[in-house]
Parts: sequence; C-alpha cells; structure tokens
Amino acid sequence: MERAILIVDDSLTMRTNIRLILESNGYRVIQAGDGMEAFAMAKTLGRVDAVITDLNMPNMDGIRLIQELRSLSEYRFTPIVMLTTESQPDKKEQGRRAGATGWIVKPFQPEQLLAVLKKVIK
Amino acid sequence: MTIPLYVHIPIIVAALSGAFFLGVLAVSRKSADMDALDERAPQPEPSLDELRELVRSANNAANIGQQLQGMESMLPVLRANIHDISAETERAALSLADALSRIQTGNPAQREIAIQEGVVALQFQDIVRQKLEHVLRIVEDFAKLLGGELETLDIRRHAEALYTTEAERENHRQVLRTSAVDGTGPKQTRGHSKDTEPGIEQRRSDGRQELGENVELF
Repeated sequence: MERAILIVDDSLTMRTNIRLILESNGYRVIQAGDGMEAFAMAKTLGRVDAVITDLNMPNMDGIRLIQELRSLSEYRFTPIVMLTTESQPDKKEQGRRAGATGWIVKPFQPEQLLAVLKKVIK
Repeated sequence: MTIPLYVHIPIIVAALSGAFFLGVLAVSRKSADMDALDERAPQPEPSLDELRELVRSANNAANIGQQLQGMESMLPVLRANIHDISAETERAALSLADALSRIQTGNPAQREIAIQEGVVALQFQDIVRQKLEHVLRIVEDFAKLLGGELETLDIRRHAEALYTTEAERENHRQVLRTSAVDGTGPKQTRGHSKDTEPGIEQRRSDGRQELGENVELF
C-alpha cells in the first residue's frame, strides 16, 4: 500500500527535491508551505503515515506545528521528522519535547531520508 | 556793591547749564564704564532645562558613537557570511555541473551516484536562501540601531538568535573573538564549511552510524 507523507517547508526547491526522492521510491506526497497551512491540511486530510517538516517557517514554525499536530487524535502517534539546517542541541531538545520523532540536519543524502522513513513508519 | 538783577539771571543760567552738561558727561562716562563691566562679568547660569538638554545631547552623541561601533563590529560577520554564501553557491553549481556530466556519460551505477549528488547540491538553494535572509535581518537591525530602537548588545543577540547553521555561528564567534583581541576581522578563507559536509560521509561508532552524523532519532 502506498504510504502518504506530508512535507512542510517554505522552500519550493526543498519541497520539490523531497517530493522527487519520495515519489521515485513509491511514496505519495502532500505538500504545505508553512506550519499553518500544514495544520489546516492535517485537519481536513485525516491521518498520513509521516510528516517531514522544516523548523524555521513563516506563520507557524516546525516546533509549534508539532505541538498543534500532537493535539489532534489522528496525529498523536504519527512519526514527525524535522528536516532543518539547525543543529543546535537545545533546538533538538525543544523538538524532542514538542513530540518530534527524529531530526535530520540539511544537507542530507536521499538514502538517509529513506532510511529514516523506513525506520519510523511502522 | 549791589549786583543788578539783570546780571544775576545770566550768571545763574550759565551756572545751571554748566552743571547740567557736567552731569550729562558724568552719566555718559559712568554708563560706558558699566557696559564694559557688564561684558567682563560672568554670564547668567543656564537653567535646569538647558542643562538637561545639554546632558541629553551629550548622551545622544555617546550613544550614536557606541551604535556605530556595534555596527562596525558586525560588518565583518556579515562579510564572512556573504563570502560563505558565495562560495557555497559556486560549489553547488560546480557539483551540479559535474553530476549532470556523469549522468550523461556514466554507466547506470555512476548515474545513480551522480543523481544522489545532484539532489544534495540542490539543497544549497535552501541553505543559501536562509543565510541571505539572516544577512538582510541584520542589515534591518542596523537601521533600527540608528533609529534608537535597538542597542549595540541587542544587535549581537538578535544576530545570534537568527543563525541556524554552524558556519554562521562560527563566523560570529570568530569575528567577535578576533575583534576583541586585535581589532581585526575574520580570516574569510576557511576550509570546507561544516554545513556543506553531507552527513553520510561522517560515520560514527554509536547507534547513529547507520543513519549518519546529521540524523538523530528520539
């Protein structure tokens, strides 16, 4: 069965990049340009198999998005992976406490993203 | 001897006129002396409001001096970050050109590796965009600093809070450290930026080895 992944990033280049990697590996991709759009989509879409989100975005950042998504019953246990240039331990800790499942620092290799998704999607 | 009345009158008039002119002369001299004294006398003390205004002007001048120093200390940080952006853009473009060439000419295995490298190179658009946004925000802070909305220390704290990459933080630390020691800026020609190292090349011996240095699962 095709897995659905919600990608949240304000960079169109990055979203396109991730989409190409995932679609060529059999995933179905849904995209949002910031946290607010992603949260609105999550409420109408229902559950997805995983969320990949950037940290710094306009309107609603990645940490806040995770907190909001965790308040939805469909997203309480959904794997959420942060994909960001940020590598500071205190930011990672914030993400972990908000409910992130994993943290990938950009730039990343496509095989890393695929390996992480394989690990976190049960 | 009796002096006739017609003689008395001119004598009295002459005496009175002389006295009058002498009086006018004396007053005129006295007035000139007083004017000279006034010029040499100390000016009246400024009022409290005038003193407050003077202090405010002096403080403003000192603040502007400090603010300019704060901006000056941040300029090498901006220069170093822009230098990194330029270098990263060039590396990404060269990497893409190399990947395209191998995709065209390589065997299937080589093409697969080249595509992966191209995907990594494309990510630098996002990294560079973020760094440029941070440079812009610092420049905007300069305007606020000059407008009195920020202080020198604020501009450094704001900048530190903006950074998302280790290279930016290292530039900031290096510049402020170097400036404090010898008043010079950073050495801009640095090695391959930490941000540009694809994490999968860095293997660890702990549980993260499989996924790479830049990946952490909670």
